[in-house]
Amino acid sequence: MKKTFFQTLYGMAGENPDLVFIKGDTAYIPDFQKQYPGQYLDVGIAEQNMIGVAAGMALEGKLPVTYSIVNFATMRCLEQIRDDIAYHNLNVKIVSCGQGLDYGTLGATHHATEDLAIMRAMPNMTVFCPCDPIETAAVMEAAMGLKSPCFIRNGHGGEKNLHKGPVRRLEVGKALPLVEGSDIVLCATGSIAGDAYKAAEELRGKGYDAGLYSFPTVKPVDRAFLFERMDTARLIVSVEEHSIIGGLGSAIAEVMAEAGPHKALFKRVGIRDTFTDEIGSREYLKHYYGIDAEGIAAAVLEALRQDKKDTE
Amino acid sequence: MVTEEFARQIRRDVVEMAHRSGISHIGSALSAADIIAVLYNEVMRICPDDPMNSLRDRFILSKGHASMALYAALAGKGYFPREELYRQGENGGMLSGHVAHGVPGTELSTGSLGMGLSVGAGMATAIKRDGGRQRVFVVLGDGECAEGAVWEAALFSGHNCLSNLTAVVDHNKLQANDECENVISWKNMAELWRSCGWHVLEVNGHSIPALREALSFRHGVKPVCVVAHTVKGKGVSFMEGQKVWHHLSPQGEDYANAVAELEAGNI
Repeated sequence: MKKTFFQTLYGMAGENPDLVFIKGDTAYIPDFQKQYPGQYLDVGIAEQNMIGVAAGMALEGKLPVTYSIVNFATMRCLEQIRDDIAYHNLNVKIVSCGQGLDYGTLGATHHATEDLAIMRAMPNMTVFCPCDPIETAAVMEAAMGLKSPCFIRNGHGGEKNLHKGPVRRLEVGKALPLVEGSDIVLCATGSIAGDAYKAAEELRGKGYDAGLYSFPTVKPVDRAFLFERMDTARLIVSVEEHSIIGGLGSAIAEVMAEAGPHKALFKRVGIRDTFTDEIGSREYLKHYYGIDAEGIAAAVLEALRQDKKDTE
Repeated sequence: MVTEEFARQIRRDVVEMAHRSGISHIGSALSAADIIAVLYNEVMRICPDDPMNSLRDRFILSKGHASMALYAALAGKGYFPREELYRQGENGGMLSGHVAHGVPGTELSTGSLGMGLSVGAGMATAIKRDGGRQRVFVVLGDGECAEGAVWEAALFSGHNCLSNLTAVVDHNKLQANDECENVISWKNMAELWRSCGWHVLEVNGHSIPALREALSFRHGVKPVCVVAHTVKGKGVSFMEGQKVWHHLSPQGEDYANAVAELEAGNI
């Protein structure tokens, strides 16, 4: 995703001379700096200033794209994002790197587990979390089409494409099918969709009619999709590499809780309100915290068992 | 109107606004009144009839709690009707206690301290890259300078030679709860800015000629920081240097005495 982001950015900078890439000593991109010196700015390790400067440039008609690791790109400068960017509804794209446990062995300070919750609460903010490089390119294009602030949470790199072909025009706030299925509806955001994909395959192997849908937009969440599925599915499951508090699971729960009587049960899969201070690789940590394919499938089966018990 | 008279008018409006609204921070507004008067009456290129005209100089009141002084200057220059001043804080009204965008003539909402200079630096960067001649002014408080973000912006502006940027520190040595000396002392205020790559001028922040000279000055390479030595509550004798007037608004006898002093014009 990271590579795709920079390739896409490169093209966009060439097309739009107002685009300015502002980074905080992250992302070494000498080619960009060389080709577009007037559209490049490294503020150093100073994220509060990065966002303030971006706001000032946006007020002067520029299109700033800020960039850092997720937590530094959002939390260190949160009040600047709130007051300078969101409150003024400025056209700034806050791009970040490292979904959830992406930075694995670097430890809990680098794990992004609350950012979606925080950014989702911000008025005027659109929140994107692509699942693969194809979605990253599509999200970038969609975000540039909006004249308002956007938060984009990209993966750190190496993600495989889950979509079979290019997403031609990503509609903001629309879920995209990865595996069609109607009885068990997995709703995933970010590259953890790859694990949800394997879980869906396993469930289908066991005879369940399981589908998987990617939510590249976490805010606004796809209400129409949820309204349709909550009356037809038996179980809707949110899957995210993020705390179960405030992210995609909460967004879906909010819609379903206010929707009135419906058929589907709901289950959240995510980090369960804890700091991810276990040490290990991303794969190890995903398993440890129960959000890998095995954990997702197990959560689904447990929810179905519980459902059966309740109806008996 | 001569600037001395404009500053007196701002102070008179500030007292009236604080009296009517009950909103605090009168001491901060009176402290910054001369700085703002000189900027709006003499130094800045302003366009009251077309507030967002791209040729205007930019102004950010980073110490957004001194909003009354800015709003009084804006109304004085005709950005909006003066009657709006006296409705500050009214339900459904136009003016809040801190500076808000959307009010004609304001560039940026402020109120949370330490954030204005970065935005000013961003504006200055964009203007400079586009070859513009507009200047950017940011007024900060001394207590505000304890915010780390101020120094991120100061380092950035010095490093990037933002010679179109001027910061003014309204250095009245008094913050909300105590004297700065007892909280975070600023013995080296000028030196701090200098070491961040700024050209620093220290002036009496209530001397119109001194402010005129300092605020008009442009360095060829460096951003300019004007350390303006001021008195909190300046212009109303019993408010001067008194920390209670950070939070109070003048009523009864206090109000009458403040008005009498300002109308006598013995500042």
